[in-house]
Amino acid sequence: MKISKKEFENLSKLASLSFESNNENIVSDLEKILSRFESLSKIDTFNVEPTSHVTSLENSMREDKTKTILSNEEILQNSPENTSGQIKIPRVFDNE
Amino acid sequence: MNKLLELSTTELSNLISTKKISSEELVSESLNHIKNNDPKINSFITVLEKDALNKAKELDNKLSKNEIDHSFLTGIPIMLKDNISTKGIKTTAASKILENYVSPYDSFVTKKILNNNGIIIGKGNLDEFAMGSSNETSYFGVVKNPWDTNRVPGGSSGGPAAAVSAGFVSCSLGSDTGGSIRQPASLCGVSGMKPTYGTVSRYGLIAFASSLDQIGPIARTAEDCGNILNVISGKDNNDSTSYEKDFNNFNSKINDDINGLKIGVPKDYLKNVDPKIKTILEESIKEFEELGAVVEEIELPLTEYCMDVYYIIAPSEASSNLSRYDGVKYGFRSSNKDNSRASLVDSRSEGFGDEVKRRIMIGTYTLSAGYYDAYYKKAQQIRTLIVKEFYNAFKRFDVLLAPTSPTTAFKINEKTNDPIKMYQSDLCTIPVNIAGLPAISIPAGFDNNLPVGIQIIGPQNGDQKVIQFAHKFQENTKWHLKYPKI
Repeated sequence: MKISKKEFENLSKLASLSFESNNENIVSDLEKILSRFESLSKIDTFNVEPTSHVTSLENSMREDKTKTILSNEEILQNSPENTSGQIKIPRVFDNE
Repeated sequence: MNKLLELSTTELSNLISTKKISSEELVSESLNHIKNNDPKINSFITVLEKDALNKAKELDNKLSKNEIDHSFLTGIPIMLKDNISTKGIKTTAASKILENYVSPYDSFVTKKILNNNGIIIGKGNLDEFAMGSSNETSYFGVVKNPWDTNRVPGGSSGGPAAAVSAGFVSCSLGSDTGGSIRQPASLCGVSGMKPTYGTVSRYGLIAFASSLDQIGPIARTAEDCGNILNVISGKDNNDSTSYEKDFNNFNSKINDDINGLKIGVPKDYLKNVDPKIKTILEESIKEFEELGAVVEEIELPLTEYCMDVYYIIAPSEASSNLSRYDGVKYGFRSSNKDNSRASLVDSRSEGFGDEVKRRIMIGTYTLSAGYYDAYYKKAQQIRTLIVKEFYNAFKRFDVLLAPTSPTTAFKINEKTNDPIKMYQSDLCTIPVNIAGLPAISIPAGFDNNLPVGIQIIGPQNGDQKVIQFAHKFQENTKWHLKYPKI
């Protein structure tokens, strides 16, 4: 199978990753790996329920109550940049 | 190496409880050995030298005054794989993106160990985000196999397996998504167990593929693994997939006979396995037969599809789980400050290594509109069929016996340029995660002075049986007592 340049760009965008130069390796790896998956179409899965997890647990819920787990300081200690008790990020909108 | 460091965790625990050794003595010996020899192996990302020694002294003091009760891990040094969160201690997942991340909270298992007065002596090296089979994708460098330092220790729990093999610690905790405890245990000549999915809470385990991830022990013996599972298992309200077992002792069957019990050997696991490993498996079968077990071949035809099912499900879940790394709240942030989108993309692109990016891309593809049904849903449907295939097998057999790894430890860089070849290292371990089963790898022989493991697989919640068979094997063999010279 082939992944077109446009498809690869779209995929990178969805994954929030950039592969500037030298992306031939990743493209060919992806093509090889995804090609393998074609063999799965041989298996008849008509009317088979998908399994998302293997425990037979159902409705494993907790009470919908808020609780404080970490303080503001504890949360901020790992932030790359913060100011006045808040996380700072680069601007969201470009200048016109 | 000090003889103390060759003992199993169970033996050490007995020595501490009878006050024949102190925790300080044991921790000091461990630290010395780590200091002198880990630079050759690189199994630790962080060594907690001062903390561990102080804790040991404090515990010895409390034990001498009978201020605390002795429990299995009391005073025992243990290594945690560095994707297990430890409050106030770096938890890196061996990634540049978390290089300086200090966890503000303890994982469920960390708390369990600390509450039982275990001593966390350090954090173990791994493949970045536990994605790999050789420990070569770690941002902190490859771990070397203590049996041959030109070779890989396996992965992704390469550090935890190599550290037990080298005698730095008697036990460690790893995580297993597709074989990440069992395959390195096999390649390093130690015992490693992935319990039934849901046995151990994943709260505080840095998520890779949530429906497959499970924490488990690596140690000298199956009995050690059971004793450690007794400490770390249990229902946790912070992990809705964890649950309480209807038994409370993983080792309660170890003295039971296996006479007349049935072992199935799935021949579909042997297709791509080295001949010498097949020979060792056959010798193990004879050993079990001598112990009275009945061994028969079994067909599990869906085995050949497991790797592809896994490489759809695991990357899909990973691509979703790893979307949280955005350089905003924690972790590496790129110096690109143009705008927040550029910062996000560059932080991820500079922060993740190649294998992690490859898997995020696979998962993004298999989950994307137009492909979801053909890939992700299809894989989940086949997963249902695989679960059924195992379920039917366990109507006839108590456990299944298979190789853990198709090869012994391979050379560093031997497979790094061929991801598919690398992925095939987990052919024999992946099916177990897909079906959420318990399985242990234990040493069963050597090929060219490299250890070979065998894998005992049980039905869901058959963890005790798995340990029972492994313990019987270890009572009658000496492979698990061999040490590498480092």
